Parts: sequence; C-alpha cells; structure tokens
Amino acid sequence: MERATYWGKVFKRFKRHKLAMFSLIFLTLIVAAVVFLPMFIHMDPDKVNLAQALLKPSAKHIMGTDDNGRDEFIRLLYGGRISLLVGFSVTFFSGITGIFIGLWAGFKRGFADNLLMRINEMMMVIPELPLLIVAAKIRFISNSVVKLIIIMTIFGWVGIARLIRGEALSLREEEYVEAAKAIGVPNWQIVIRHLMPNTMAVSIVWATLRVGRVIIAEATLSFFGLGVQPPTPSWGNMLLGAQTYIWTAQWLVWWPGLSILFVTLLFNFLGDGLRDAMDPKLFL
Amino acid sequence: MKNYILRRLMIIIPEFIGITIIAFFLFALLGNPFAELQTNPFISPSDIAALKHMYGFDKPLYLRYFYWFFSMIRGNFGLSAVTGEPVIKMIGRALPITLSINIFAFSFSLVIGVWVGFKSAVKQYSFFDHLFTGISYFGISMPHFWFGLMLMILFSVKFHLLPPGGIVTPGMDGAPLIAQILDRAKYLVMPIIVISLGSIAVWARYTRSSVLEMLRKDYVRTAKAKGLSYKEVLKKHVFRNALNPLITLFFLSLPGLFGGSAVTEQVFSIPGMGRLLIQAVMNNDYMVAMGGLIMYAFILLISLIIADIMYAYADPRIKYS
Repeated sequence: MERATYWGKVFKRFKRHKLAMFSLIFLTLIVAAVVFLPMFIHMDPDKVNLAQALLKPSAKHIMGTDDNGRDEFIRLLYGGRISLLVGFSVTFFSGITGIFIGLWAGFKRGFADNLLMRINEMMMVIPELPLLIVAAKIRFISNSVVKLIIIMTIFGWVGIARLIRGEALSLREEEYVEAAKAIGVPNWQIVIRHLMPNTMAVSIVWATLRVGRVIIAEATLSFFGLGVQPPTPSWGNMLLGAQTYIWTAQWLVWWPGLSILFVTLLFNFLGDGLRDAMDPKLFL
Repeated sequence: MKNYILRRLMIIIPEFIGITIIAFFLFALLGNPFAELQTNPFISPSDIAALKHMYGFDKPLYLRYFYWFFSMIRGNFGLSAVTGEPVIKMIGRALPITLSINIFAFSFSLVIGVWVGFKSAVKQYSFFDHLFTGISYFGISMPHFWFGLMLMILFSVKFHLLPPGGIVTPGMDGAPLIAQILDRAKYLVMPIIVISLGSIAVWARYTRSSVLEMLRKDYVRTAKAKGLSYKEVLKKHVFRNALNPLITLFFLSLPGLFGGSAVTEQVFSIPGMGRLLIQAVMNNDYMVAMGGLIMYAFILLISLIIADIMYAYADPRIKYS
C-alpha cells in the first residue's frame, strides 16, 4: 500500500483543482514559448526599420510593428523573457532572504525580532512606489535589469519575513523543537531541519502569488521609464509610449498589457489552488 | 485603555523621527541636485554657489537634516527646487483634487466591495460568487495604468464620450456652477473607475473570507439552533463580527485618501498628490518629495493608532494591558 505523505496528499488535492491545473499547464507553455520560440524565429528584436514603422497586424507581422518598425511579436517574446526573469528572480531572492530572516527572528526572539518588526513598520508606513522610484534613480550599476532585480529584492523581503516570523513563533513552542534542543542540536540545524520544512506551504503559496505582483511592479516602473531600459524589451517598457498609441496604434497597447494580465491571472489562480491544497486556512 | 493610548502616542515620536531620517538620507543618496547646473557653461560658478547657499546645500549633511527637521515640525516644508514655490502651497493645491477623487472612489468601493464580499460568502460557490470572484481576480491581476489606457481607448478614442486626461476644459472659468461640476465629473469618471476596481477587489476578498470564517463559528450554529431567522443571524451574529477585521483595513487605506493614486493620476494627468510626489521624485525636487512623503507617513501613523483604538471598541474581547 502506498504511504500517504503530506506532499502526496497535497498533490492529490491539487490535481482535483481544475483551474489551478489548467493555469500550471498554461504557464509552463508560456515559459517554454518565451524561452524556446526566439531560438527558431531568426529575427532581431532590436533592429530599427523606420520604413516599416507602425504597421497593422498582418501575415508577415502577426502583431504588427512598433514605432521603430520592430516586429511586435518577437519583442513580446523577448520582453516576456525579461519580465518573467525579473518576476522569478525577485521572488526567489526576496523569498530566500525573507524566509531566513523571518525564521531567525521568530526562533531567537529578542533583538533580531525587535529590529525586524521595526523595519516592517517603517516599510508599511512609507509608500512603495516613490521609494522604488528613488532607488531606481540612484546610479550604482549600469545593467538596468540587474538593478531592477536588486532594488525590488531589497524592498521585497519584508512581507514574507513577517509571515514566516509568525509561523516560527508558534513552531518554536512545538515539542519536537524542545526535544531537538534537549538532545543538543545546534540552533541553525533546528531552524533548517525542523522549522523551515514546516513553513514550506506558506512560502510556496506566497511565492506563487508574488511573481504576478512583481511582474506588475516591473511593468509600472518601466512604464514610468525607470525600470528596464530600452532597447531591451520588457512587457512594461513596451508600454512606454503607449499613451500616444491609443490614438494611432492600439495593438501596441493591447499585446503587452494582455500578456501581463494573463500571466498574473494564471499565477493568482495557481497560488489559490496551491493554498487550497496545502493549507486552506492561510490568508495571503 | 488610557494608558495604552498614551503609550501608542509615545511610540509615534521615535517612529516619526525614524521615517524623517530614512526619507532624508534616501534623497541624499540621489546625489548633488546642482550637478547638472555645474556642467552648464552659461551658469557661472558664483551663481551656483549662491544657489547652493540659498538652498542650504553648502552645509554638511547632518546639519541640513536638523535644519530641515526643525523647520518642518514648525510647519515650514521649504521651497520647491523647480518652481520656487513653498511646498505647503503646492500640497494645498494638489490635496483638494486628490481628495475629491478619492473620497468618492473610496466610499464607492467600500460599499460595493463589502456588499459583494458578503453576498458571495453567504452564497458560497453560487453563480454570483464565481462571477465576482472572477472579476476580483481581474481587478488584482491588471496593472492600473494599463486598465486606464484601455478605458481611454474605449471611452475617448472609440466613443468620444470622455476626455482622455486633465481636470478641466479650458475656458470653463466663467461658466455657471452646475456646468462646472458636470465638466469636472466628466474628467473624473475614468480615474474613479480605475481606482475603484482594485479596491473593490480587495474589500470583497477580505469581507468574503471574514464572513466565511464567522459562518463556521459555534455561536452562529447556536443562534440558528435556538430558532432565530436566518436573516437575523446573518445581520446580528455574522455581519457584525465579520466587520471587525475590516476596521484595520479601513484605517490602513485611509492615508491613501490623502496620498492619491500616483499611477492613475499620472496616466490621466490629474495634478493631485500622487502626481505631485512622483513628479517631484523624478525631477529631484527633494523638498516637495520629502514633504509629501512625510505627510503621508504621518497620516498613516495616526490612522494605525486610531485603528487599534477603534478595534478595541468594536470587539470588547480584546484587552490592552
């Protein structure tokens, strides 16, 4: 007989959640498309050809061309690479940072915990967008994608750290933690072996929902011209001039926006499905 | 209780000072605002020195902080580096515009959101529930600025119904009051829709999960068992208790009333608080940006305290020691 492990049960419940399964499959397809399709379509996404500017969608350019005569479809694919890269890496780095700080603060209490909570309160009080814009204006690295990832990681770990701290606070009172302490397991090993696996559900659901939010934040910053710098395309900076296109070339507004909307929507569905499968009481 | 309020008020002071320090040194990181002037061959070094002196930039950083801090708590937020106007005057001009939009959007989304959330929780998994859960998913998955652009395409480009941005039609000064109000309303419809969509989604989701939690409580079962009508149970036992967590959300979103939605205001070129702040940050207009930030943070700090106190009144089970 098969052993019913926690993750086995989670997988079983998740499979029943049709919308989440559908989202997972679709997201996999989208990631595969933006990673692999450009390898087969030999077109330069950055090549300017003013004679072909602002062409309507046609057989040759299935999504039309932008104001520099660049094919919108190929730029959407390359832009997707950047947007998803930013989404995944910011979530990953801020998640790792937040989880370890949260675990440590919740486990050790005292000074580390106090410091975390004060930082958390300050971050709550200062509005995020101006903060990100100020940070984006500081010149410390020339690659705008790397810079965006660093900035959004710096301002992105606090939320998950607070969540994980809350979990750690209750986990540290569990008997197995006490038992581990009693037999002399060092603190860092308790954190890694006993606390961290028990916070996995929160972390995974948080991360899934987070990717979509990071993509939207990237788009907003890039829309203001402070995110990914052209000519490198991202879904956000493809909308940089969009406000003037609403009169002349509406397809340039549709595609990047629809991509952001669609991907974020799928991540939200997936996150909700994972939450229902792992820990329905969770409210993120 | 009194002690608790007093203690909370005392904590505000160090927190407020902390925020001013963060804001000040963050902007200091942006570097010398006169760097661009120095490369301009038509401006003499002595003029730049005079400008620096006028704005106090010839003094060391920490002295500048203290000077700024102490004049600020006396109500002097300094001058804008771009227009030379007092910051307080610029805020005074932008604030009413933001408030006129946000008070409407806020109350609108509060009523609609709580109603939708309550309905969809009571009829969980019904068509209504699925429909509005779906809509609220769209609400949180869409970049606000893009939604604004889509509305513009629909209402301004396709149907020529509403102006795509701005706040007033030129030449409306002499018009009768009713015409002026109608004119203003035309400009505010789209921004209000954009701001509302996101917050309706948030309110509805919070209310829904809060009501669902209450529906599972033992005292709700007891109330039903002792023969109260379902309506009565919903009104007195479920709805009343489900409101408690919403109080925190209410006061947390209150500062947004004054802060304005930067993205929406930018897209629709509305000269409100959000746009003022964003423009100031983009143009290195330190004084305006810091003034706006500090004001927003201060209102948020106060709101948080009020939220805590209100929570205690609404839910007598909470004890403060």
